[in-house]
Amino acid sequence: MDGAVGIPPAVTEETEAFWSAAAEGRLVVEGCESCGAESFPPRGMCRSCHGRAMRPVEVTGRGRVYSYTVNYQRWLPELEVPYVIVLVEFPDHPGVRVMGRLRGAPEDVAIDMEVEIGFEPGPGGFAIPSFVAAGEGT
Amino acid sequence: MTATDRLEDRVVISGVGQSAIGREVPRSGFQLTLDAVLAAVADAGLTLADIDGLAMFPGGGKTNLPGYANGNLYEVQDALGVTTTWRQGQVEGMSLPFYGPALAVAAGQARHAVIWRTVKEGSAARRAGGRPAYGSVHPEAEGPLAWLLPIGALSPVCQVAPYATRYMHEFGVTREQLAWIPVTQRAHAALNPDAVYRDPLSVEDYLASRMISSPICLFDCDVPVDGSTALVVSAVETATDLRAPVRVEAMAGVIDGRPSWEQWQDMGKVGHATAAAMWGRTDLGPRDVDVAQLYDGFTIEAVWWLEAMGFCGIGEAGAFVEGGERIALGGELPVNTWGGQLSGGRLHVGFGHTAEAVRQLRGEAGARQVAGAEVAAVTNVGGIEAGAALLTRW
Repeated sequence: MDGAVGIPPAVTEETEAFWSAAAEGRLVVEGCESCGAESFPPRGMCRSCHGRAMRPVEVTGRGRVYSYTVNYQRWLPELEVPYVIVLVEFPDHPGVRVMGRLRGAPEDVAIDMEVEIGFEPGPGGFAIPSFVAAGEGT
Repeated sequence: MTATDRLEDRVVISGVGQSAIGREVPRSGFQLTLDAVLAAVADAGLTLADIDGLAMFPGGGKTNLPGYANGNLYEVQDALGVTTTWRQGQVEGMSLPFYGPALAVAAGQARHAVIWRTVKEGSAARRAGGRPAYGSVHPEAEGPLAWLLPIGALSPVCQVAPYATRYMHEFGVTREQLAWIPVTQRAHAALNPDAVYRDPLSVEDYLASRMISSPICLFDCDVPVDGSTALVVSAVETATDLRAPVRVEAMAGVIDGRPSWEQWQDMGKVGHATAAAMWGRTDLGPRDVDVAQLYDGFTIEAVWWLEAMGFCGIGEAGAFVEGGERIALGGELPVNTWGGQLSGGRLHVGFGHTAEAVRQLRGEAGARQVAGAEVAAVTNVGGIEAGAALLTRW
């Protein structure tokens, strides 16, 4: 699977920390200095208490697939298909849901499957979230 | 002053007009717009001199899909040679096509407001050799697209598909059941000379069609087209000047979740708060509806609207549509009698749906007329944005 074909993100004040951490293989969301709530995507404001002091918080541990799709359509020339897109939630991090790819065979994906955090090379040299079924190693 | 306490009572939908509609119409979006606007004004029984409000979707600004945005409101006003006291171009907030114009007219900012939506997505798709990637007109994915496009969610198809997967998983709804929506709508389109796909479609055809982004297959996706639809919203006190006005019984548009393709907790419920708010503004109920025009960018959106509007219970839409009898012409709730966007064409954000609702309530729907239609439901979008309305016969 090759995620390098595609459209890269525009990086902003709010999202720079996420993409920098992604390049290091780390999943970073926003945590509130005041109430501790975590949120994604980063907005520079706490969705729970509206505090403006937010810091990067690394999400580790397993995620769980809320749902998925297997994309077969070649939306761009050279796009390798099929590939799996997953919405992943984290039992230890309420309020955080991340969309990414899932490596591995499309027929193996399932709702509620447990996944490990990972990244793969994406468009424009960015690293994109790319999860792996838990227990399979990376 | 004949205004009442309910803003809906102060307005009527007075005109609908459409340009030629097709996979490719060899005219500019601007000319299609003028065709639709002139047709709608004439349909209302008005002349251009009566028009004092203009609105369009989207505005003349940035767009993410080739062929999505066409023209500029000021150029249209210049061509029409009218004076306006209210104008609006928008993307966010298009819960219903007539919502903004109705607010303006109810508030006295305009007496006769025209709103239009022009698409050239059919031609754009042909030029691109297929339906293009969302955002492909820009080198970088900005705003909400930054979380979608880089990972390969390159179309609204793959953005809505995970929610369809989840819905079908939770309620045991099958593709064999959902097939009846596109199949039934195709049968309706056969009775609509303006629909783009009119040849019969079977459940077998549906199940054999190629998968785009599972569980959404080709026939679950609306059809990019070229075409323009215009609506005229008028003040109720002008009704005697109008050829065939239609009442707005109730309308609402509520966003009660995180308005994002990947963060909305359960998109299967996206229309529920909107429908509840709409039903809260009328004494009518789901059983009073004679015909429903439910937004169908994808089959699954019409499914969710059936449940949100209370036409069936949560998780029951698969059983409700199975076999097609209930949602077909002659059934208890004929749905998308013009073919919907799946067969009639992606006229977008409820413009095609509203035009059909108005025609049904006037008795002007030709071979696809629902006999004696007095109450029509219109719903719009169903992914992030949402709108629902009841329109009634004058």
